[in-house]
Amino acid sequence: MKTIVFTVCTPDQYPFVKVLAESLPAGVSFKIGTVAGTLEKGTSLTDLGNSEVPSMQQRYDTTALAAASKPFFADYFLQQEQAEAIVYVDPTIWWLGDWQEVEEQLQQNDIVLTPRVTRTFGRSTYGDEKLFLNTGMYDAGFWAMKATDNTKMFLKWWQERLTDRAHFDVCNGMNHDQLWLNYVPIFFNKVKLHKNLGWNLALHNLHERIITWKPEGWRVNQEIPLTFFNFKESLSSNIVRQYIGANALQKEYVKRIQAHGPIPAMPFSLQARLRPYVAPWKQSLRRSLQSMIDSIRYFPLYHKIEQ
Amino acid sequence: MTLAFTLCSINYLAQARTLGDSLKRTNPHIRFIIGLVDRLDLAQVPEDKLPDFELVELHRIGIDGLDQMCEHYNITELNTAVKPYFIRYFFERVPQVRNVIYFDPDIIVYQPLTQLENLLETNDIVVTPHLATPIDDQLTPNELHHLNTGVYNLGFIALHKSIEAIEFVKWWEEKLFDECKIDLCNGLFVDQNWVNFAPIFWNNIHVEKHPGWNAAYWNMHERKFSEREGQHWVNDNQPVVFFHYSGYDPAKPGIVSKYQDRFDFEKRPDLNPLFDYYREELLRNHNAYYRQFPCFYIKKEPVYKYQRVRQLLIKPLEAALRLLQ
Repeated sequence: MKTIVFTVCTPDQYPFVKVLAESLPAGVSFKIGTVAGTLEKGTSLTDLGNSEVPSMQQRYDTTALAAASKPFFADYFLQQEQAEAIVYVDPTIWWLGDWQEVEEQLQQNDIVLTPRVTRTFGRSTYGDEKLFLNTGMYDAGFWAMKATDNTKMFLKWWQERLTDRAHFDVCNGMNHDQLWLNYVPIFFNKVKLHKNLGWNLALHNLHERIITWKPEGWRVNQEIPLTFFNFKESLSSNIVRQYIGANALQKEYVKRIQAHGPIPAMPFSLQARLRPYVAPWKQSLRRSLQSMIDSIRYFPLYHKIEQ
Repeated sequence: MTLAFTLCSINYLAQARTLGDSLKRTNPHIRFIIGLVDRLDLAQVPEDKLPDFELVELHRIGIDGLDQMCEHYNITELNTAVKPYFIRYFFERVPQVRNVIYFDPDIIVYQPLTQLENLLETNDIVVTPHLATPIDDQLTPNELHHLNTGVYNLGFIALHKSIEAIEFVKWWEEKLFDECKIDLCNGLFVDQNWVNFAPIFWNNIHVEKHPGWNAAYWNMHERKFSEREGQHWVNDNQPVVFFHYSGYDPAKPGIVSKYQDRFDFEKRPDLNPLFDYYREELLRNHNAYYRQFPCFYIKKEPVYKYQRVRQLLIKPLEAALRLLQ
């Protein structure tokens, strides 16, 4: 099956893309889509010729624009290369394992998605279970699809939504491109939720996936081969230090990035947006103010004034 | 044995009876129980107005911490939060139960549930999505709304008594003990949004997209109804298995549902036979009479005196708080 792998990045993220490209198995055809600038080896969003692009560029910040452009690039690369399948990977992914399993999954399914967590956990240092409910059950940092009529409909559907509804606004059902994926197993056929614990490790699922180094390579929960890791959020978070194996892996990754230049800044972290760090003095002052407001607002309730 | 149940307060007993009657007609082998989020002894419902169906009152199923839940929740939240607690009660306390089906009280079952019972032979849990196909307009409700509130409609869920299903129910109970709130910015929408996790945390879940299952205002864009030979059909040749009349009030018969602005009976005359029948059933089952009963679990709304003075006092504090955000 002729398969293309692509990513979408801003030009300053090129060091990530280089490490990703080096990590992919030889023979995989790799494409780069860029937003907010151009790269010599990349295709710019403005080059795609989609009429929606100017309005999207006006509407979105860079993070949202990169997210929203994925189905447009997918469509373009599929047609340009006459490929049979396409795989999206975030620029911050490091491919460490077997590629064969991706091909196998694509033989049997039209669309392959990975759940962001796979088992109940209540609360972890990243957050609690409900944090996933308005941010998306499936990860938009990796997805794979075969070119079929079914997936053509999927890409068109996703494009239409991401043209104007790819903001970060969790109170109104939006988390860039990701929350939309909740519908994919329902609206489209032959969708696989692939629960391999070695796939798509990231800050939000480290509590269920302990990484260790073994002579045969990186392993998850002792025996599962680590296939790929997405460093998107862990690079800018201290939480990863609590996980010895993941931290060691990240150090290896950082070394490789640095070989290509300084580590690019990550403009957006979901975890930081949803659970921002607040200085303790600020937090306690906020709490006392809020409690004063509440006691005035609900005064009649406390004093049981009845009708 | 398959057990079906619903949950409501006394004010919704006309709906629950209508559902029960429909099950008796179409699925006489299914045992139907009304889980009552109310107190019969305190409401003093006269004997002749008590439904012919089994009633199980909330305070009798032995929920640890029920008082805390009542304190914490409003009536909508409480009614939805107790769903898994009832399911587990039926699994554990009713002998010979193999399957438990939950229906919202405003549902009518029109067909035998044979296909559902067959599905439960091989699946632990069966749910239905709000939408089986995309909806392109942005009227209410649209695709975005369900992304905040849950892609599956929890007016219906069916479970086969199995280790996995009981594990799911226990997890759901834990969540709903204190997080069965409406708080969209924090990912909460009563019992429903949590069930997005079901196909991820458990493996044996079936999502049924048959257009005759859980048809309701949120999916009418993909479902056209007709009546032939005394039966209701959807999309020409599929039977309406159960219809969900969410947000319909027989006192306002011109309104399809108070929660939507996409359809009315003029644009969708195909809905008339389904809704005419429902209205008649509710009236026959004393809807107006039951509606007057206030629910025992409703908390008294506080009276806000000196509203203006308090508003003035709050203002500077709120401004200070905003500065700190």
